[in-house]
Amino acid sequence: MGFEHPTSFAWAVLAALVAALYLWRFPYRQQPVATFSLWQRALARRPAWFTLRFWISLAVQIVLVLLIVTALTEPFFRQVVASRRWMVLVLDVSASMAATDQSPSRFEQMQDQARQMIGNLRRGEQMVILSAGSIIRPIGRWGASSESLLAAVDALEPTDGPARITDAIAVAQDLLRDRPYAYLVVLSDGTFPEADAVGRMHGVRLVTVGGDSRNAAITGLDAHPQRADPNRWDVLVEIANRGNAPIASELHVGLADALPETVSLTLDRGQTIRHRTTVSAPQGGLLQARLTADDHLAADNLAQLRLHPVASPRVRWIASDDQVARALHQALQTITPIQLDGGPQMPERFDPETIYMIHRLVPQNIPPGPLLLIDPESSSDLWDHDGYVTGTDGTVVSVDPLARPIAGVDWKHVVFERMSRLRFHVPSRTMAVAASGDPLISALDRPAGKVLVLHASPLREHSDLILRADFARWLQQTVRWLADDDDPAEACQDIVADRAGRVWRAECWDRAAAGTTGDVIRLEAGQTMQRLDESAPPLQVFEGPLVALDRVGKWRATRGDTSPELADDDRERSFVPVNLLDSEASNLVRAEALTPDSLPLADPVRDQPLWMLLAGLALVLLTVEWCLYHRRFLV
Amino acid sequence: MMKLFDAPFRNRCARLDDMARRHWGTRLLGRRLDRRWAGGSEFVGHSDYTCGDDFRYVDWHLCARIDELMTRQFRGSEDRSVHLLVDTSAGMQLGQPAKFDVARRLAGALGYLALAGLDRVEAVGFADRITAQLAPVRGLASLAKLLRFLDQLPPCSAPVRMRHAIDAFTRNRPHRGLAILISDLFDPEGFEAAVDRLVLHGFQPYLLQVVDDREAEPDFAGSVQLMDVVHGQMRRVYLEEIDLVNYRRVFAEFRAGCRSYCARRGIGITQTRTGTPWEQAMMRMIRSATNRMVAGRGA
Repeated sequence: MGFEHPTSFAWAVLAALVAALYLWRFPYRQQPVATFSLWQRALARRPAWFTLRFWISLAVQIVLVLLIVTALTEPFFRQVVASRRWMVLVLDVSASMAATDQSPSRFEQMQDQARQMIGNLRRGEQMVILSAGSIIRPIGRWGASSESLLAAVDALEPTDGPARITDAIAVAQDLLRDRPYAYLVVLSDGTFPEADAVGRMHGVRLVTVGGDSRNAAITGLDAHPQRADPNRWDVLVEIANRGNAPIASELHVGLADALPETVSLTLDRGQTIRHRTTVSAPQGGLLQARLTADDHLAADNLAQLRLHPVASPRVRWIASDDQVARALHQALQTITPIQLDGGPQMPERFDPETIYMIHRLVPQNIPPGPLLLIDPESSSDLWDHDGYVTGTDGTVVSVDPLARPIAGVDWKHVVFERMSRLRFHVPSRTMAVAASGDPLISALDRPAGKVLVLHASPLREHSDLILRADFARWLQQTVRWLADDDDPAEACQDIVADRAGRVWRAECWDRAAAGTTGDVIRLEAGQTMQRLDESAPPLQVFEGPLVALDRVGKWRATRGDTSPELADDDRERSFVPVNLLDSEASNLVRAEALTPDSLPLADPVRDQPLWMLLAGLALVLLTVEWCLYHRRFLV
Repeated sequence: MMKLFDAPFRNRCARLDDMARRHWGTRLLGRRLDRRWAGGSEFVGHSDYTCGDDFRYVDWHLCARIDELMTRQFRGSEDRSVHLLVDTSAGMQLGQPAKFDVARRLAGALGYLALAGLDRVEAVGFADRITAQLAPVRGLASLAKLLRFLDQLPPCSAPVRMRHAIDAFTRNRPHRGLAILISDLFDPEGFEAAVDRLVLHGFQPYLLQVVDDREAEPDFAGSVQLMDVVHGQMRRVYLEEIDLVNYRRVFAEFRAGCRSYCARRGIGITQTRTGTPWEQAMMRMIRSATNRMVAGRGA
């Protein structure tokens, strides 16, 4: 039994007022009579119980007042309904659920409660379980058996990401729309940012697990190579106390196979510390930041970052024309680190480890190794020269955005007035097309090394290419592509999970096709992503157009496009994550305004209002009292 | 200047007298016609002569015609006395207007009718004894004296003890006659014994019961301190509706008991309330007396 307005019980003081007025001895009015005898005879006819009439009337009136007061509170009787319940159970699988402040962990405690709820399901009742992490996954469907639900709960494990509880609630509410006796239960530790709002949400029952906890977390790890010395990396580590109590810890930062730097830290509750250091990694390596604190969440005590070794390729330009030689030399000088050389003559022997950039001259046999050929003037073993295209037909009309050598370079309105027309003997990939329809930039796919061909003449009398600022950028990207190396400044972009900004990063080649939105990566049809984690037995595979990652580990993305012209490197890329997907996932502190709730879930009930019954009873009592007072049926 | 009996009162009494004469002739209150056929002056018929009849009433002329002895029958008026006994006890002081005032007005009206009928009228005030009395008077010329007596009749604080008072009244009272007892009859010892004493001493009693409206229909409830004005006793009581209903029943039973007693004794009674105009009470009294007279003739 409950009351809609329990504060209305304050009106019960009226009962005391009624009693006081009733017991109040009003002054007797003097009434002269001619004789007592008639009154004595009349009073002698009172019924025997009349001596209790006063107290009976008082009791009736007090009860009457109490009934009315109780009716004002709008009481209702919660009647158990023998109808089927429709339940959606939202399970928080965020990283914080792996905390061990509860034995054995918050997650397993939540699993026990979920099992208990499933065990309490009665015959014919339906339940759907939603796993709410970075991804909201429905487990089971309406009509699923208890055994399958239990198996699904058993198979769950905490993720490395945050919990999208509000989105899961929206999904659950859609599932429960127009369902009678619908129940939406959220099992969580209440550490997600919207916990307060969810706790106050109508129709949502938030059952929390966990208690006071200690947690020192690495919430950010980033590294950038120094400009002056690319072999040295500036490292930034962000450490935060995401528990209920102050905590002390040691921070070890360094390469995995080297002696780390150790720092002692003491963090108050809610405090965040940023630690900067420098790491020397000429060969790259796996940068690790580790906290030694004995806290309740171990997943955020270790953060890793792969440092790509910064390559220093050798580049030699060969150009007889001073104008082109000077432009090439000046543009290539801006690339660091690089070993630059050049001259007008062809070398006697080509070094396959050196990148050659040749203007007009064409060896009869194209040597192995990476090459950039600019405006080749004759045929070779890889192509036949078929004359020139002159005039305005050399204008660039389209470029391949996925082609790394020219990606991001502004080719718009670049004019080439003379362009060689080549017929390749080997498979080629056209990266830019002229207005005549002829290839302007072509990449040759050969095992001996990458070959990039610029069909147009860069001379100033034929083109304005070397006058443009993007000329140096094009050369820079071409060198990286030929050297099979990325920009050292962007080496960390292949980190899937960014602790600081909740932004997923993808490979440059993949950015256009697999644009990043929040924590979801969109893939083209046929693409797959696999989690390669040696420590995790199951190999999770995601397929489809929409994929989100909620586990930290080593991931590999492969393209469904298996065309032979794609390099293996383009078909498959790997990602290396940090530790958790979101710094909020380290938070183990429950929202303060949240009221802990507990199981078991109440049976389906229907509130039966009682105020009408009480009012009716009060009316009956009033009638009885009136009849008692006036004796309409007794006299 | 009399407060109770002003000029309009006398005019109304005159009209009542006219009406009473139409109903009763010259007799008051329609008492049974006297069967003293030979003692009156009004010829009403003949009858056979029976042994003992006065020879002076033999109608010799009729005997000569029918050859039988017939005697003349007369109905004669007698020098009658009307005794107005007014209760002056403390209980009669209650009411709106006071029962005592109503009783005196009724006594005045009855006195008017009696004096107009040439009866001898005597007025007596009583409580536990005779508190005041007016020597018998006759004729309308004495009306002022009678009314002055009634107007100045002092109330008595003593409780009513009708039997004692009637005993005192009947003692040394040479003129028997009609005794009209005007009271509320709230004698704790009962009024019956007093009435019986009147009958015993040759009086023809007639009861005129005057009660207050609030005595018949009390409307006070709740915390009440009942005060017996006669004995000065107090009683606190919380009166509820059931008590009032019971009282009305008891009161009705009391009045019915009065009527029943009078019916058994062949005594006339008229019950009136203070709220009822005295003329109306007199009219009812006249009508009831006429009915009794008609019933008596039939018998």
